[in-house]
Amino acid sequence: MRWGWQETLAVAGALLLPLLQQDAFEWCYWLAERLLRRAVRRLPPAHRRRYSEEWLAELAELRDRNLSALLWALWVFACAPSVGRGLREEPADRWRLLCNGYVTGVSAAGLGLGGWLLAHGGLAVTGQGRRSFLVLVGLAAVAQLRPYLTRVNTGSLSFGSLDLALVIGWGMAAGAPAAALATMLGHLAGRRSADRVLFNGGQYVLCLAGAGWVFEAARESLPGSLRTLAIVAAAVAFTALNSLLMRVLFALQHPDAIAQQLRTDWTVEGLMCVALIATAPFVPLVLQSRAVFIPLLLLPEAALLLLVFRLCPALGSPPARAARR
Amino acid sequence: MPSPRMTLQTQRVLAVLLEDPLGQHYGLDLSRRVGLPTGSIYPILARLERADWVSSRWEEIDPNATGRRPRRYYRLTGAGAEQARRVLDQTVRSISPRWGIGGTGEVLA
Repeated sequence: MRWGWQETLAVAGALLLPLLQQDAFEWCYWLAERLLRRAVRRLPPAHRRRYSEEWLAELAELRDRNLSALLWALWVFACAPSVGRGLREEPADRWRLLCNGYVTGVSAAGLGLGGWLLAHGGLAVTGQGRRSFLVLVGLAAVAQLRPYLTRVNTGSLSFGSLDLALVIGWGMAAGAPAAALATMLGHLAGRRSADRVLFNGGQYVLCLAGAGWVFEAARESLPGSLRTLAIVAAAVAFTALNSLLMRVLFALQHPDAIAQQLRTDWTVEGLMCVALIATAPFVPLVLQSRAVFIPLLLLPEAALLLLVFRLCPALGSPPARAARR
Repeated sequence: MPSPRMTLQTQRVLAVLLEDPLGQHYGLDLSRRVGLPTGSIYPILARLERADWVSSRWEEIDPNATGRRPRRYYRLTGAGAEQARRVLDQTVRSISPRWGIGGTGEVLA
């Protein structure tokens, strides 16, 4: 057999590879130590010594797992600026400021719009439909009170069909402020804090005014036989706007949980919208000043309430379960 | 002292610390138990410590006798444990009703 360069290379490789491998792993640990020392330099000077000791002690625990030690040190290195920010005097919490700004903005915009609507017609409901209007407003306020009175953990499902019927039946100018006032009264009676009551009022005016606008636009553009679809469009707009206003608030309060929330809640949001749409056939009956038909408006959402909280509690609040884990 | 920013990860750390409020926890051990990527536990602990929710101290050992460096141990302070319970309880209660029509009042912190 002729001894060539390939054979030489194979023998040298077989001898050197284990040594190189061992060295490579040793290098991982050495590199991890260097990374930690670099990471410490990213901290405020007053805290460097303490974190240097702390991290080196924890690195030593990974001594026999050199690759893991390197990966861990890389993470620490990447997170060091964040540790530094936590140790320095933090500026005012950006998220909290944004959240407060958002709550103030929605409250001001919604209540401002509500005031404007009141000034342009508003609650001056007279004539045949007055009794139904007052019954609906009263029921809407009681529906907001229900969670406080019953103390059953059914969320704040408050029969949005009543509010939607107010806007559809008596127009945006009367319906949106009336429903907002009803919800604010309900929350006030439930001893909610002022910022919550104002936000809810503003939120209601905005989403109901939006739904009312969509209803009017759809009704004008649809032929007579399809006008019921305008109610469906208003229901979708109401759910979507209400959902959007709440999701933005939740995203500002829990920025790291919003993706999970959106994934898990779409089923319930969809059901809510279907329940609102299912009230469409009953709305014209109520509008004909037949208050006796008002309970029919409650049926779809009552069925949803039963479905979610009695028959299928798993639909109720997935993120709450996640938070308990 | 300002309250720490309450992210989901922070709440998970608090939940683990609350499981054994008198126990001594060090960073590496905590990140394993919380299930966070190693390293990302330290910013959370730094914020909690700065807000006085968590206190830390050095392990009292003789490095020469034990052959290892002393660890930095973390535990909840009395006020921190109380705040942590309140925050976790509030989260569980506030997240559940948020999807209801008109239910945003429940979400506000």
